[in-house]
Amino acid sequence: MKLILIRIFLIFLIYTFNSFAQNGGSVSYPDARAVAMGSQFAVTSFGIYAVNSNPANLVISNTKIEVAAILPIPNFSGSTGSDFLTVSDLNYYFGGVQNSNGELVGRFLSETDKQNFLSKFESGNEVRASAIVNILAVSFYPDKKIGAFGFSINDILGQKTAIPKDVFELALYGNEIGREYNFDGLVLSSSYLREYDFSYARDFSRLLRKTFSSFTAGITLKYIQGFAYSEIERAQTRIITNEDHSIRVINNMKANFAFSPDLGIEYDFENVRRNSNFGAFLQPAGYGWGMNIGVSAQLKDIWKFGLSITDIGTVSWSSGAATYSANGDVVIKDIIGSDIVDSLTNAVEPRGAYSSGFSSGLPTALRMGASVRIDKIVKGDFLGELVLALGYNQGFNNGVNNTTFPLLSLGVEWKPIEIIPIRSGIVLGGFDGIAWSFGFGIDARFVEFNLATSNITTAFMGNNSKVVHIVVGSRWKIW
Amino acid sequence: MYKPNLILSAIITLSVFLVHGCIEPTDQFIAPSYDVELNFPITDSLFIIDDFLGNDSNLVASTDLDKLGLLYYIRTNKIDPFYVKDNLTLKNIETSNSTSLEAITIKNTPYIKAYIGISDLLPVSGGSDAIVPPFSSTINTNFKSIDNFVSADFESGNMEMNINNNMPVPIELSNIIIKNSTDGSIVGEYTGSPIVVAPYDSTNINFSLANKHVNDILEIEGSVSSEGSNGETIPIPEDAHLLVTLRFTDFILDKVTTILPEQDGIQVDRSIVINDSTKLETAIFDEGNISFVIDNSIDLDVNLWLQIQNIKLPDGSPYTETFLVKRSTNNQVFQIGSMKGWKVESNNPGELINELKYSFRISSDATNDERTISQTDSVNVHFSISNVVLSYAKGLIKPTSFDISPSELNIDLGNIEDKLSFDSLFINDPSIKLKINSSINFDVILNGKITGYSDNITKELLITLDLPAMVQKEFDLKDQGMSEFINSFMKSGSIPTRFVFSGEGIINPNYVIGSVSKFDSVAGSTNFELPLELGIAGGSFKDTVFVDNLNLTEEQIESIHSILLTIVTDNKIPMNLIMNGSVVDINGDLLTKIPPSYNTSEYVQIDAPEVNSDGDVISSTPYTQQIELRSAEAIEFIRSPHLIFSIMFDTPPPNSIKAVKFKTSNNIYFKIYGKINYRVN
Repeated sequence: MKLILIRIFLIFLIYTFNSFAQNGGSVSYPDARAVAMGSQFAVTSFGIYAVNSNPANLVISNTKIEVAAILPIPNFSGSTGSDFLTVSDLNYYFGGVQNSNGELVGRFLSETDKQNFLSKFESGNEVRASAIVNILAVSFYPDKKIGAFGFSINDILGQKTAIPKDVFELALYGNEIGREYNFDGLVLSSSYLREYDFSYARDFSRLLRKTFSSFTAGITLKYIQGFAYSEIERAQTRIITNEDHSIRVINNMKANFAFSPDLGIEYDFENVRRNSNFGAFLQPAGYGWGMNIGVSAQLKDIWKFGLSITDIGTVSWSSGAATYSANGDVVIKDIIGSDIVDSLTNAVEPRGAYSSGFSSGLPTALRMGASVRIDKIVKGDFLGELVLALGYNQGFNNGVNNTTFPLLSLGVEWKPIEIIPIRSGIVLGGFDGIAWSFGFGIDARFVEFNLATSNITTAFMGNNSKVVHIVVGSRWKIW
Repeated sequence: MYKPNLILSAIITLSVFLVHGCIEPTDQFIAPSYDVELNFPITDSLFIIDDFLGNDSNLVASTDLDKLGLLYYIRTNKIDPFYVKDNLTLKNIETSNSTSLEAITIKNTPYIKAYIGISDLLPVSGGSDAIVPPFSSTINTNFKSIDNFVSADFESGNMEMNINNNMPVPIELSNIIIKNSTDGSIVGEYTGSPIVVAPYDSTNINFSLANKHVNDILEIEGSVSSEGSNGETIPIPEDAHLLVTLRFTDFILDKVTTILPEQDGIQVDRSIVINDSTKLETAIFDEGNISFVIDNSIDLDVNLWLQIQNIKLPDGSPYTETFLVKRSTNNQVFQIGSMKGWKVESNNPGELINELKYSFRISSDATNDERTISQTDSVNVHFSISNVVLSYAKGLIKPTSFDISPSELNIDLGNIEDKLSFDSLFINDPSIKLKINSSINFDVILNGKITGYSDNITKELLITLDLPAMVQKEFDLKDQGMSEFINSFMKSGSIPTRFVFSGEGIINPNYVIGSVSKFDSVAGSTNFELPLELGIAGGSFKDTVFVDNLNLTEEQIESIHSILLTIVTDNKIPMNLIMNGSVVDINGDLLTKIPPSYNTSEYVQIDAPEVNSDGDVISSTPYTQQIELRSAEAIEFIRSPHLIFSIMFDTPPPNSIKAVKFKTSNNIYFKIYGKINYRVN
């Protein structure tokens, strides 16, 4: 059991998770169909899944009422991984070796090992993890005139760590004379939010009647409760070993924190006792508003086009907010001096204090895409349905659950029979450059099950993979 | 149905495979180990001597233009103040004097009578006419008792006898004797020719009372004869008689027993010398007591009045005392315990005295009973003034010596003498300065002694200091051979670390008029001035230091491969330094030498700069050296906290003790950096 837990921990902590790359922007609703097709949500998410991807797609549905809840399977997206180390790397560098006594000891790194390790950082330096749970989702589409309504509650957890390569260079080789070690880009971010989403969409086909056979638009308003947040707002740290052998340490860092009192977290500068009172409804530490907007168009029954901007908004953290900061520029020429430790401590050691609050942005992203029903284009007897989709995601910030690295994907969904859709996609861009997504579903008329991964190569590459991403979900199609 | 089942089976198999199957992360997360090399600075400092002066108040820089910036080791110690205090004393004064009553006085002049009727002489009665026949008769008749005394011894005087013949015939008296009836002792005797007393006439006879004892009852003896009335009948008075009267006149009693009247006293005026050499105008007592022991041999209670004119009470009046001295009693003591605030004062401003004038007088009251007193009876008064401490004295005070309690001047070099040695050392112009304040209004001569101590040598230097009255004066003991005294230690290879100043002082050595108070003092300080203008040959310093725990575990220490220390120096302090060390274990056994034997040099050398003929630094040359500690030596160096380091030093030029100057501007630049190669585990 212990070994299993360790494996799970390592898998989730260390491995690259390409879902972010495939998402190409904000983390979206745990929509297994869209993830399996390359995480292009603008034209691949419908019904309750459209609330957070492209609300205009709410009115593109064959059912009037959809519900998703904990049962039978909750809609869940979980991912973890890094963009620079594979499982093999992990095992090699941190798995240890047996010594002559048969004891497992740390591997001694040769010069080649060090170089190889540092070369890993050419592909990135981030470790991420996220988990999104859809607690409840309801959509209602009475008719075309009235439009469609949607509501969902989602818990979103995210963590992002980025360690600059210079940190490892300094650790492995020591400080070289004349060398500057730059710790800019150090990221240690985490977030725990709960969204309450209210969506409305309706058909505006008459506005573009000459162009499209159908045109819809939708909007989602988000009320957000923040339960935990941490970020390094600024990490401008340099360690320079000068030619005269003095060491200069420049530090200018600031980190923000806010936690729900129910989490029982105590700052080191305060003299209070807090007990953890974790439950379904925590006392928020921050509040915010957000919005998703989108449009969708169809050309006959063959082409679909979608454009959305999701997660526009911010969260203000004001309750229990604290700031840790350190600032200093110290040149160490003489370690004998009695005040050098104090000076260095003042420069390096962050000091915390309550803050009046701060705000964090939502993982805003632009999503656009187009899909085509191949089975309707191909003449002759085509086995089942085949949808081909092309999408592009662009995130606007690099916060938790987002990246500004663009993503282009091409996905397909093939339904050889009505109840079993098979999906896959090719992703370009993002963290890994290339990924192969895969998933399938079981559509049993009133209930639908879906399973996906953003990178099926994880299964094929085994220990050479960097990420794990699983998306599962179900929805009730009541009417 | 075939196709869906096949597809579904494939999907399920693929899904299981996808979720986890091929990923095999390590079971145990173990950090790797590797070798790393860290470069680190140790120090990069220019140590200027001036920077350290603020921390060491004993090192000061000269502001003398000739020696500007030259360092002096200065150590100041206070000399415990000597207060005149109890040393201002007077010798005990005592004297004895006797006095007697001026003269013995009795109430009245004694006057007694003896009556001899005619019928006691012949057979004739008075009050008739008759023929008085010739007759010759003896008389023996007592006088009436003397009321004035019971007995008396006369030193001198006269007893006048009057014979009154109240008879009608002349008589002749012969062989008259006056004697005490009690013992028959003769008081007066007349043996001359018969005394003829005509009828109704009288005559006097005088007797000397010198050395006569007289009782209160006298009698008269003698012969009385007469020719009679020659046969004629003559009237005989009714009270015909002879009346003999005795009167004591002009007498001085030697002794008397009687009820005494008030006796007059006698005043004695005397003086007593205070001190032959000290003459005072004024002196104020701080302590002292005066006592009287009185012996009274007079059988009278005596009133004794005494006055010491030159001792004044705090109110300014002369000290006067009256005692009632019991009769015939010896050793009667009267004492005054404290004379604080009293003064010795001459009678006139500016007048100096060395004796106290005093007077005393005795007297007595009349008695109600008989007493016997004699002229030799006396009252003896013995008085003394003792334990006198003066709070102030003005006048001609005799030279007075006092001891100066030893004052110590410690040169705080720690236990350096155990660690520092040298072949020879020469210090240019060292000295001790004495700064002395005197509030005494007299000159003072200090006959002092400086005793110097090193760890193995003790030497003494005698000094004499003239300290004028009421001044602060600094004495540079260089003038008394102090420089040579200090350097005599150095030549022997030792450093004096302690000096003791002691001796005695003499107040008013010139014996002049002045004043002194018990609050006057001689105080001050000793200043040890050691100019750091010196030459050292063959100096060495060895010490053991305990390097503080670096909080390294044994595993961390063992992971050290090597340490390379680079030392860059630029020495502008006029001294050659050669340093090395030994890492030892807790038992003092050598573990490794620093620098190790495989180093280019087995010591770290810092060459002295070039100095000119005045001993001033003129130029220096930077010098770089390295110490490499390979694994074993590096580990021992880090692991063992005990390091014995040795520094050999001398001043340029080599093999000389020519003095060079250590100044505030002297400096040494140290830049030390290191490189450590160790294994991270």
